[in-house]
Amino acid sequence: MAGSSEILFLLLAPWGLGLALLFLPARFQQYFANLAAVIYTISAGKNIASVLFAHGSSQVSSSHLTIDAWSSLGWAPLFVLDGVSAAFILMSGLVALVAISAGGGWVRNNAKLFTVSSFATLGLVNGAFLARDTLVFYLFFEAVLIPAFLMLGVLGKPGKGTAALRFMLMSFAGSFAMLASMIGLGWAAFHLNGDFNLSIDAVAVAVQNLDPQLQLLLLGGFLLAFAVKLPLVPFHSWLPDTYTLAPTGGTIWMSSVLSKLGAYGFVRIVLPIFPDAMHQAQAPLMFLSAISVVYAALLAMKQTDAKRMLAYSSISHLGFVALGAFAGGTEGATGALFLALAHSFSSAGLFAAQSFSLDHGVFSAGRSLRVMTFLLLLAGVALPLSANFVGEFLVLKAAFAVSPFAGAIAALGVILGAVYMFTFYRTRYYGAALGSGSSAKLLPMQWLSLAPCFVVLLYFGVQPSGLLNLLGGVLDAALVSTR
Amino acid sequence: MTFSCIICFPLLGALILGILALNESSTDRSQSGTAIAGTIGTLALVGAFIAALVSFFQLMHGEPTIDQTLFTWIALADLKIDFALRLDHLSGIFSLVITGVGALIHLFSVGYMKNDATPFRYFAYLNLFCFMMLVLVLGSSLPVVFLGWEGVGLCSYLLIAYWFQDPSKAMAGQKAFIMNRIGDVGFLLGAFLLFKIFGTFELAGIQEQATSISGPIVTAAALLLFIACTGKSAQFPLFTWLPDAMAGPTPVSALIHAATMVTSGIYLMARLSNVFLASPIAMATVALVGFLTAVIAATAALAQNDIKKVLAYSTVSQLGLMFMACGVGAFDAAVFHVVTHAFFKALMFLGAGSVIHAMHEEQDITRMGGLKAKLPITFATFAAGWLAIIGMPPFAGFFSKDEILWKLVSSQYGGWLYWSGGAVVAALTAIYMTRLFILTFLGKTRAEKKTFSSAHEGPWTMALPLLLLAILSTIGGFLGVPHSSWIEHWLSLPSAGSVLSGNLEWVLMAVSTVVGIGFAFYGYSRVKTGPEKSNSGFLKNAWGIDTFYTNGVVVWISRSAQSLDRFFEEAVLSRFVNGMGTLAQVSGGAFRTLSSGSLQSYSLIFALALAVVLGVVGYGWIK
Repeated sequence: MAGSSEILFLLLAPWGLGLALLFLPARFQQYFANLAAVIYTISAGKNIASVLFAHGSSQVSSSHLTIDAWSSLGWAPLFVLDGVSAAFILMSGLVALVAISAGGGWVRNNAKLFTVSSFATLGLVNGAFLARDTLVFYLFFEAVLIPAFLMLGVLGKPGKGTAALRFMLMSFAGSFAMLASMIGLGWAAFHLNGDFNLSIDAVAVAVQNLDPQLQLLLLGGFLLAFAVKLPLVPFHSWLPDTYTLAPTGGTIWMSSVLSKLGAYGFVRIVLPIFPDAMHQAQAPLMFLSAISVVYAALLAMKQTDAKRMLAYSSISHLGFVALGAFAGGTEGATGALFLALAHSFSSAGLFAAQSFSLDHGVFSAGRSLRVMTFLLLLAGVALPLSANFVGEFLVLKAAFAVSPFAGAIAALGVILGAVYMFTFYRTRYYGAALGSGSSAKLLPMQWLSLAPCFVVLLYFGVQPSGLLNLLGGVLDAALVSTR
Repeated sequence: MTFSCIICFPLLGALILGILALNESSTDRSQSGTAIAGTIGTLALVGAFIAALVSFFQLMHGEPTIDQTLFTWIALADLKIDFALRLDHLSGIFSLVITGVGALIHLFSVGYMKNDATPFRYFAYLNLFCFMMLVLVLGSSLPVVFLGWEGVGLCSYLLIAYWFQDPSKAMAGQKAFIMNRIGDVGFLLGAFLLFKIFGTFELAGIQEQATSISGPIVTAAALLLFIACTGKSAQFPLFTWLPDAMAGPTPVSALIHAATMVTSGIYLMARLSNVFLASPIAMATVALVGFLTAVIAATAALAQNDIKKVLAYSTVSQLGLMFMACGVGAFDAAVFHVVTHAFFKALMFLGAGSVIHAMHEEQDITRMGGLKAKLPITFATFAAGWLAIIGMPPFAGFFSKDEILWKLVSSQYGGWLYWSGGAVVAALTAIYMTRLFILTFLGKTRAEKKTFSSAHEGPWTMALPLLLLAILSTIGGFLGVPHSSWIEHWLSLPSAGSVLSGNLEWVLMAVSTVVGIGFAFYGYSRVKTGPEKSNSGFLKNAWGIDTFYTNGVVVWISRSAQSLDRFFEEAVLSRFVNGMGTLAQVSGGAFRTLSSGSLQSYSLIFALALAVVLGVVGYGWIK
């Protein structure tokens, strides 16, 4: 099991830190949790770098961990740390820092629950990102709902009960469909290999031998689960209330990290397992994604509540992610994941900035907050030199090459996105009241929340190639091997 | 190295000024702030201008292009987009105009904005704009051009909404950004389509390969790019943002909304002229849209009383004329007019700024008059601009306008219909500009006595740019003397063939000159009878197109969104999910426990989740 200690670290360290926070005083939870997040992210970064660049920076390598406790059953869960999982794990670590710094004000009464849930989420998503086995992925994918549910159900604003119920129901409905598909996959794999090897590679081979109709049916289960998670219209109706009523930190977790499990699932689970069925379903799926972009953007325009507007904008942007994933190919899939990562930071930053403007009970924003909000908003509308632009550019390019029609519809979202984002900014941050009156300065903790988002978005907007090729190299190999 | 300084200086200036702007106090109105900020901003542009000049001389000494790759921007597998700049004959001309006129306008701003509360913010935006504009013209591939394309839109937004405390100004900025963004989407899709056809984003590669292609696909690509051009260059049907953009400070209107950004459309068409020439449908569309815009805007200009609005509609109209030129394949004539127009329109905008400055923010020309005595420098320089735009020989506009009119009839894509359209626009231009000039400067004043008597010229920082631009507006036309045109030879852009003999050109030139001067006199005689008060609402509102947008399109989109919200979102989806919820509640109490449960039950679940993870991972590890 040499070389796999890094994977174990990523799987277990968040739990250790979560446990430690449980025993630390509630009073300074935010500081402890912040410290924990920083320490975790730095050491995770070191671990990941030592794996990926073990043979110098020119050749990217990966690390595997197989757990063979159940090998007698033929089930040997496989975890792989490669460029793609590494990127999502590091993103989650940074988002933890952002969420904990931002979520402070709201969760003061129950700080421990929030911080511990945060680290539990981190531990669980790491598992999902590392899993190269469908069953293991499924377990983590499901378990992540629990801390999210805690953040919403306990710490949310009034009305959270219904929202939480709806969130749970829709997620479970999707998950059951996925479970049913997985049972089908298990059966197919067992039929072919005589064991319960559910690793993605093994399952992909098994699927090749199935009847095309059956492939489509099994694909449907996975698609439904990820379409609810992302979400795609019309599977999104859990989201607006959930994002609006959850505490800011919880909203950041959900929009920046949990939704990415859907994007990750489309690209890393669905595309390699069902290449043929995906090809068949490509046109309607791309059309649905494009509709999702425009529909959510139109609704975002109608929102008066800023948080709700950002919630719909999140759906709209993730429609682009789905579009890229369904367009496929190296550019489509890489663009989708790159955009998903960029969206994590622009969305987290905007949710955080939005909550800071209401810190004093009424709306107020000093110059730093106005400037930071505007800069994050520019990433939100995918202006060139933001990471979001790179992702959206690749996605639209790939989509346009496959289906100019779907690409053109989705491109309308680029216009509508500018409408709702700039209306949001104009109606709140412009106008007589804000002339020079607001002199409130950002607190250090708030800088800790906004600055990382900005730095990441700008850096990867100017220098995206390294990350693109890291993602693209892995995806390219996966897409080729299944063809 | 000198070459990249063209963009580095403005960027550096923008960064320094931007950082200083973060800490400037908006209550402390000391004028030293403007002086410091203005010096930094102007020096950045002067530096860029010198760099552009040096590079331009290198081109004149025979180097066909100067290339510089700064870094690799987006690379993935086979796709490689470098952040690369290329200076050639076309972008050389544009760079000189942007940095040269830009520097003068920065200098003018030092005087004009001296009482402004946030000068560092102002000059930071202005420098950033110049950087983006230079990236637009120097970018060697479509994505880099797109960075500039969206970047100038952003800066235009920031500067129109510069006084954001005023909600109408903030709205004007937003309107500009969104109408520009409609065009930007056309740009993106056009770029993707071009990539699909030619397999490259490189401008030079596309331009080269486009000669050997035709058919509907290239028409589609050309039309998509054309949508981009209509947005940025304020052409029908996307022109309505430009008159509103006058909400910004007047030097901004001179720089962005007259001399540089709005000419991007012409730049792009000239840059990819072969793509347009490959599609007769696209060419006809460009010419017709240009004609329509030129006429709508020129008639609208007749009916405006706001000095800046007249100039704004005049700009739209002149851009329409340049689009007509592009539509008949006379890209070099269009670029020539871009240059002369940059001189005389920037001059007139700055002159208007000087007037507004002197009249304490008064912009209504029916309440001006007689300013000749009070503002001699502004009067004299504005007169040069006026003579240039109405086409009086030998002022700059005379040569470039006549070149366009000649090409409108002589080109294989042109004809007498186009020529008469252009001549009508020229006549209308002569009328409204003469009206503007007379109402502002001549006759007896209609201004309040106190305002009028205290009116005086601004400081030297305002006078010097006016003088220099007046000189350029006077002699700038000699860049393109008919039959030995330096600029045409320099650009040597692909163009449509000529079907008429050269001798006719002299005849037409005489005709159009007489038309221009004749209608100027006509305008003069009409104004003398007293300013008409009852301007027709139809003309004043530019044929009601903006009203159609605000009361038609915007309302329609908003209503559709509303009904989506009411019907689909609420009625269908919510009911469906709620139905599911009821079903689940009936079938089991588990969810109820969860949603109403106590902290203990959550902790239990948490512990269970932990156990699952430790079970899966830990057990296997130990074993």
